[in-house]
Amino acid sequence: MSVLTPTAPGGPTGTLAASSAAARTARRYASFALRRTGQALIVVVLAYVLVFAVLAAIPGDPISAQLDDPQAGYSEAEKAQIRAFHGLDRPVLVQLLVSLGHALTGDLGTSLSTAQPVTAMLGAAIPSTLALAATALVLAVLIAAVLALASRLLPEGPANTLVRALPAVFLSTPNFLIGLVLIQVLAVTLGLFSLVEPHSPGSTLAAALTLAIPVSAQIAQVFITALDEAAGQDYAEVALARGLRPGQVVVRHLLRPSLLPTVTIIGLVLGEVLGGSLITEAIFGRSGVGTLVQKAVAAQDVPVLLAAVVLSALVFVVVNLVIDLLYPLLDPRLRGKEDLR
Amino acid sequence: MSVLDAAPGPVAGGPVAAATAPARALSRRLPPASVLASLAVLAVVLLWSLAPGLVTGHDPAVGVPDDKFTAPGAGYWLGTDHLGRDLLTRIVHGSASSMTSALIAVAIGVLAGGLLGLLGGYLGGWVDAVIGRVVEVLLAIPGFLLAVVIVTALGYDTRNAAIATGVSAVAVFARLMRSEVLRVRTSVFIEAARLSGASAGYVLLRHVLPNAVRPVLSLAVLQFGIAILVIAGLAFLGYGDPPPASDWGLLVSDGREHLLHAPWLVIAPGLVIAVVVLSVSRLSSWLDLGRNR
Repeated sequence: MSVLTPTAPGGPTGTLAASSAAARTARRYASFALRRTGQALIVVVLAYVLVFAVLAAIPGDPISAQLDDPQAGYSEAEKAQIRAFHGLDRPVLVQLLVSLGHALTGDLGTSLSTAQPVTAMLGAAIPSTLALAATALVLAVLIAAVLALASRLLPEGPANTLVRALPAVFLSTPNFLIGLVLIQVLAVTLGLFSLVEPHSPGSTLAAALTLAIPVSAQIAQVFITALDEAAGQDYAEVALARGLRPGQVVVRHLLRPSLLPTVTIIGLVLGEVLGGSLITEAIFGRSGVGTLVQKAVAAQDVPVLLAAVVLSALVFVVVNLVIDLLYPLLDPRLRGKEDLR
Repeated sequence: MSVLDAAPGPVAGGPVAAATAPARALSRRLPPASVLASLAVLAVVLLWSLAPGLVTGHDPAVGVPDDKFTAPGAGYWLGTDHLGRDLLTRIVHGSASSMTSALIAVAIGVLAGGLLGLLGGYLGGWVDAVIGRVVEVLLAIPGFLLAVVIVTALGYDTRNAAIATGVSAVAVFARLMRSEVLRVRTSVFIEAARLSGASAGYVLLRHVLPNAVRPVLSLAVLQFGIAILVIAGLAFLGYGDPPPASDWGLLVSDGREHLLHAPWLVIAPGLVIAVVVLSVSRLSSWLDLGRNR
């Protein structure tokens, strides 16, 4: 630990000063971590309030269309009872406070369309989306790494230009086009996976690739810029002058300083992965959080929609919080400077 | 790279010099070929949007039933759909709606986000803290999901999809504008203007805003492309105008049923979206580069 902090010169007093400095650094890190975590929690709570407020703007109450359907045959008393059960007879502000209070204790309410607890519906949907998103993120990082390394290692020429142009192309292609073309080519023409089993490994991989391609482009763009920047530094030129091959320079000297911005962007693109799963799940016929959102939108099922969207925000915020907290551990230059961020 | 680093301008001459430098670079030589090609693509789409009837002789809503599912060829350049309607005509007639909605989205993002960023960056203090928190919350909700939530509340049509897309882009503009204002605010010429007795509003409009315009413009162009994708995604899921509208995302979603035997119905409108967005993003990165010259 004492290596991390500048050691004062001189005998025993020096080591004493060093250890107290290390303790100070640790204390400062702890307070930084605590403050960051607090801020993240507030953001998630405010996101809940915001989404609640937006959905409260739905004209009428969200359940009236369902209740007033003559086919359902509810009596006025039954309608009032159902409204009261969901708390829809109370003022919006009270509804918000009650629902937020329950959400903070882990109770996300009851679906307006299926009458099931929202937590159970989410719980059933999460594993499939988690598998999809995690696979997509891994694929995206792999594709981005290949593109970024190729951009440094390929000699200048058409191949290099192509590699550097690819991220913009990936980013511009609508993910539904990518998904439908993958289905057409991989499932229909080549028969690599069956469309009837949307959760088979092959289908999951194809769906993940659909999500991964646009996302990999953003990671690749940041990675390539960071590598280029590192390559322009004096130490990189020195390494070349010392007679290292370009490949060795990349691995030994350029990769590490480029990882920090790359890790940052991986956290930020998580939002695209979560948002993109909506379309991807629809195209591949997968069940999951995206499908749940789509059904909730169709049925104006406010509790389910609210919970699914805030869950996505929670995942996004927590992952980025963890990345934030990891920075000082990843980069010695940032240690002890947490206050500046 | 090193040429860019060594160039005088932003650092030596300050933001004012930076604003005139690209103009000089422009007069010296034409933009690269890829930028010219992007401009040509956008000009074509603009023509499609303004005068769809000029470009195609077919009717977008009425088809020739005998010609249904004709593959792309001489008679129908991009083929026909299940009612024998010319796909190119439908794409051309859908471009006005697709372009207008992306424009609305970007306008909302630039105006609302720009105003928030300007106020937060310039006023500082508790105003900045409150705006900063709002921006943070907007950024925490995945953009596409936020757009879906807003369009659910507003009702499904293309105009509302555009508004939703714009609101979900407010945060990125606010963040950029704030950082630009902070960058400019500490410049010597702002201090000089303040000392010479200019009011806060005057300094803001006359000195701060013009210097922040270029990066915001570049982001606006980029966001225009992203808005096309988001709105197409919303239309694909059925949150835009219903058929017989022919918004680009809707065309892909309509064509999906016939993917197996008429893949052009998906691929052609999908590629049109991709090419337009790619052109827009090329333009944006060129504008962004101009800032550093």
